Amino acid sequence: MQAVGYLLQIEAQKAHGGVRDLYARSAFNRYYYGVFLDIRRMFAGLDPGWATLAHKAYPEVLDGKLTKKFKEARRKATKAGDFELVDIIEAAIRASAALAKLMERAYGIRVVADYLPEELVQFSGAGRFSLKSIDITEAHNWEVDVALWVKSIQSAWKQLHA
Amino acid sequence: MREIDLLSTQIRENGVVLVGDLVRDATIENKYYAFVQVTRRADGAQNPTNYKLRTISDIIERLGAELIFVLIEDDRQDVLVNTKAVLIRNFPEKIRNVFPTFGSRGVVVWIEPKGILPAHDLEAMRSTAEDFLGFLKFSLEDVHVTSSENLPTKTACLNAVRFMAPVKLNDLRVELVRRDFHIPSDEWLSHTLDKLRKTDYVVRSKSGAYSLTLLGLRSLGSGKNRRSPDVVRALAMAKRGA
Repeated sequence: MQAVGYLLQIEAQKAHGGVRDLYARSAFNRYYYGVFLDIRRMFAGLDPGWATLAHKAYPEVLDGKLTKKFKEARRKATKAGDFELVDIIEAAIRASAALAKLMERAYGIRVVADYLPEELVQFSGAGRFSLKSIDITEAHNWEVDVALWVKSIQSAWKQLHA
Repeated sequence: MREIDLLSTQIRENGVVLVGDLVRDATIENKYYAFVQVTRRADGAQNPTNYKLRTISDIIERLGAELIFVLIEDDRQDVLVNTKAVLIRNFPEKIRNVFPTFGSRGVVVWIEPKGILPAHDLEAMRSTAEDFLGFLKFSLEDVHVTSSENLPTKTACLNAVRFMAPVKLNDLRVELVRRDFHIPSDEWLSHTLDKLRKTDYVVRSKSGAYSLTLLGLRSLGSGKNRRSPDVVRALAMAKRGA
């Protein structure tokens, strides 16, 4: 998805006319799906029941059920004096919140890209463009942020459930 | 007046600058996305504040709709890119990579170290990031180190002992590796188990096998679901023919 998004981003930078807008909004769409699929893969590894969740449920699970489980584990780890684990869990709690926020942000812009063609992509110099003031460079970088936070969550989960 | 215009007016009347109209979610009824232009005051505080945005969300919720704010800061990406560059430039021997992101109160920096990071190095990195962001009128929310060591924590070791007990060091090492942990050496594992023994979490029999004490069992707790460690252990014992 990330590769396809990047290809569309490059094509949008090169293209002229109305097709330029279509390439550009499709790039946002693919970058969103890249985020979605990375988190879905993570969810499937944590709990098979989370593998088939709808898009809208992702921020809810990250901010809700998953964070609740980590907070409960943090309480136990604190009680047991395992402060190394407490640190790992705290990082995972922050990662879950950050991932939920990113998912909402990415989903919001994906809705604009897919359903509001009247909201035109704004092209600026140096081949950059944005939709609703969200720069394509930011969307391109979502993958790196997601990988970092997913790793943090998986690391805590493994310490608790391996 | 359309509902979407009504909500937009409500938000604008609270002094929030919207980037275009609200966006209605395509699949969820009464859910909207508001793209909000965010600025920084001279002291670096965000405008509008998160408190104000939460208050507006609550008002909209009482009107029967859900509102998600997407914050837009023009220099947002530049701040992150430059924070990363400053840290990597200042600590090239110690940092493999830096991942700065925006948290709820400022910039959160995640550092991937090249090796084990002593506390004074981490403090120096925190101070560098703080100074740089302060210069840009942003605040540093926190600095975290990503763990690349993948060593089992005390709880992970106790979990494995509970699963295998009574278990000898070599078998425990095999089990922990099977669980995808890195064990630097038998000496490291022996030292870890020794610490657990001295703090009364495990006991070591004359034959050299480790088991949990009551304190160890209590610290792990149990569960009433399919992941219950007692069920997992019973199944494992049945499998081993114990």
